[in-house]
Amino acid sequence: MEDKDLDKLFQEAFKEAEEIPRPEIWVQIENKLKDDSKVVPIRKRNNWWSYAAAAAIFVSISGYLTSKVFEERSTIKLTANVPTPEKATSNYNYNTTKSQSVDEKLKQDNNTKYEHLVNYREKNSDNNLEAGTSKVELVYIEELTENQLLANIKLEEPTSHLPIVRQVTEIDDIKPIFEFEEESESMYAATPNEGKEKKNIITTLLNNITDNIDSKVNKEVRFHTDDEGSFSISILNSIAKNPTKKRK
Amino acid sequence: MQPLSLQKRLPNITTSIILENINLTNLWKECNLQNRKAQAQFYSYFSKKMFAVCMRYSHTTLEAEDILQNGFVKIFTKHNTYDGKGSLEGWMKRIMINTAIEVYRANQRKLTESIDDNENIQIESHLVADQMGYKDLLKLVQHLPLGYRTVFNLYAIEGYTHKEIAEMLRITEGSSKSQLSRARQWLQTKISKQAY
Repeated sequence: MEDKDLDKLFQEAFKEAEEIPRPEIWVQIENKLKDDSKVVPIRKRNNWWSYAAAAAIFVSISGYLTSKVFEERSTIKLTANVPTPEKATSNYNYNTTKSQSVDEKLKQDNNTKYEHLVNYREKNSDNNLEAGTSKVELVYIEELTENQLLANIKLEEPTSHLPIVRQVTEIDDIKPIFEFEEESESMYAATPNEGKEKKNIITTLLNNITDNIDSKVNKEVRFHTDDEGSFSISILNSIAKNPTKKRK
Repeated sequence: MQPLSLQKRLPNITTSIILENINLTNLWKECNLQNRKAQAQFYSYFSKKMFAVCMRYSHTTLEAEDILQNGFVKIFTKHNTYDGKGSLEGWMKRIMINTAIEVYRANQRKLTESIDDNENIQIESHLVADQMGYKDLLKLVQHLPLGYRTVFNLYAIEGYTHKEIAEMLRITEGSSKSQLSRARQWLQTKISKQAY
């Protein structure tokens, strides 16, 4: 037989052939279809759920960070109500704009204030931030009443609100006392015009992130933004710190 | 959709053919909606033909059943891959063949098994010595080793070229040709032995 004939023989035989499968096979097919139909909608749902989960994670993280921002802001508001201590310390910064006698007096005040600050902080190092802050404010008021009026008079100036903001931020910082003051010192030394820095959401978020990365490092890297929307990073290190302030 | 091969079953009753076509289209649509009853009906309509295809690609009935099962699950779940071009039956057949080829690829090690020429095959048809019926021919094909059987089916029955077969089975064209000739030789021998 030729090859073609052989092929044709089989072709004809198989063309319309029918074989009867066992009925059990359909049952098995049905079961497989049932399993599949359970899987498919879940897969489709998975797509949706995975996006929803990703969005939820993102929202929770950003919410956590912004809540930290609000924490700072709320403490700013708290301390802003008690202007005298802040003003007292800010005067230290604006020596050149004040008269000599006032400066001297304020220097004294600042020294006493810092002493009190140190004492207070040492006593209350275990307290949480907000409680500590509010107590410090009260102490200031008690100790510095004699200079209160002077401070008030002298600092009724347009730039007064800025120093308050800055000072409050520093005082409210979640850092131990030593670094806290060091940090304020270094800030004076390194960036005198820091009061003009603007902060927006992005910089505060970035600042929070860097703060949280290493709590030991006290604001070595600061993010600022300016009017034009450009960002700047200022890196502060121990070199700029005032060597006279020794706490240890 | 082209008319299905129902024509051959009911050659003189064209209206019923058209009706069947419409019914089948609707039935297929219902199957796509995962209507279990429609799927059962669809299966009962096509299963015999499909099973015959599975049988000639397999060595045992069990193997054929596996291919049939997996094939139909694919047909019902991947119904959207049928684009409407070409007959539905042709598309289904292709799925069965592809499922059979999966078995081939999985068992490629066993391809080089030698055919036992002395193998005793019971031939059922005793009516005419010269003529071998479907059952006998099926038996012969089932006794071919996997590789020869697959190539023979694809070339001689389905009509694919060696190039296409080489692509499908991931073998060389030369391998396809040699396997085909070996299959033919073997079958030829077996058939001629049945002369008496």
